[in-house]
Amino acid sequence: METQLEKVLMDTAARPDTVGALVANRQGLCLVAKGDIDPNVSGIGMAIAQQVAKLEPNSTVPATICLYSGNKRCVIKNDGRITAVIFKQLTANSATGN
Amino acid sequence: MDYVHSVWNYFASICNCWQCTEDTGAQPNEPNERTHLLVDPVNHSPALRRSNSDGLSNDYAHSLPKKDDQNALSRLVQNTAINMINVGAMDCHSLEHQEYKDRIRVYSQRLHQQWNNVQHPSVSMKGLLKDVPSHQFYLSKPLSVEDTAQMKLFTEKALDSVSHIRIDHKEAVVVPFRIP
Amino acid sequence: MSDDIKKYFNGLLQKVSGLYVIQITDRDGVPLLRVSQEKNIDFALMPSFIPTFTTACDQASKLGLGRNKTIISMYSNYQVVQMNKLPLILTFVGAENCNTGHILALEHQVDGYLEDIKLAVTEA
Repeated sequence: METQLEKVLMDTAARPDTVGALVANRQGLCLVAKGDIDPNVSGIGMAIAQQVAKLEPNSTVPATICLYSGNKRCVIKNDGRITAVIFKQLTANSATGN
Repeated sequence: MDYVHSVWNYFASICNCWQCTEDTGAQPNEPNERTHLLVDPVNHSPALRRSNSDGLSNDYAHSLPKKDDQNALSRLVQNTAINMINVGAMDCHSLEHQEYKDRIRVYSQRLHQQWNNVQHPSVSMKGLLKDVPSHQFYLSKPLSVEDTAQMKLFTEKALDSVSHIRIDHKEAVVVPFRIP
Repeated sequence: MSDDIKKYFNGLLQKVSGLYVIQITDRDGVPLLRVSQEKNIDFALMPSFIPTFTTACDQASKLGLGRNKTIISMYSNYQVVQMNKLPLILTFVGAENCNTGHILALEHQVDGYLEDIKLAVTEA
């Protein structure tokens, strides 16, 4: 049933710079979460994405939001039907890359 | 044979429930899944009132335990009543209007008194990025191409798999209760 | 009613778009605190609404899945999220497309305040 979705999450969370990832539905309820991420983040993640969407009400392309804090960052995207949240961290590779 | 089997299962499940209520009875003050939110909603249920007037559980609950097995039986009846999901008990409990008003008054008084003695956790630092030492660094940070690419791929795949979610049931989804 | 706590809950109400009412009652539906948007939701005040939740919560706890904590009810115009915070009941009423996940996330934020409000009920 949801095995395909779980696999997508697993693949994403398996990347070395990714801490955790989740997908929320239209209600802001967490569908699936993998890695080190609190499922309760889903609602707030969606709320942030909705607020950001108000900045550009005429835009047809959904915004990708990135919140930086310390050595971690949170990437959020809401395309209307689902909201995706990824927690990422600085790794040795990406630190030199920046 | 099938019938006997189902009766046996029924009793086994009752005994299970009985055991688990006794287990949770170890900490009587802790609210748990068996704790009633209302004072005694079971007694308000019409179904049980009937059984009370039949005198089954009531008589044995109040009389001295003459025989152990009778006692056990009445406990069994009571425990079944507690563990049974009883939709009939749903529309019963309501407060007298006067009591309702009295309680509102008492609560608001108490809250008022209490709120003067309580230390409020609400005072917090307000301001943009006050908890971040070098916010200039973060404000000037661009969104990395890698992040956008990963997110784009992730949302596309996730959306695709979300739309593929189907319930593949192996048995009938709607099952009729075998009520005689 | 102290302004401070009302202000706090009003702030919460503003944070979630599409949330109309936050109400704290005791288990019989007697209100302790209620904040709402101008749009008035009358049914949340109906005396039978909260006791019905408490009984439903009781019955749902017997399904063998543990104690029932939250019931989310979706209606054509509203959604109602009710939380069992023994001896209190926390009720949220919002638009049907309101962010349910965000409402659920408020639970952890109000927990600290609920401890204080609980005292008003348990002192009886």
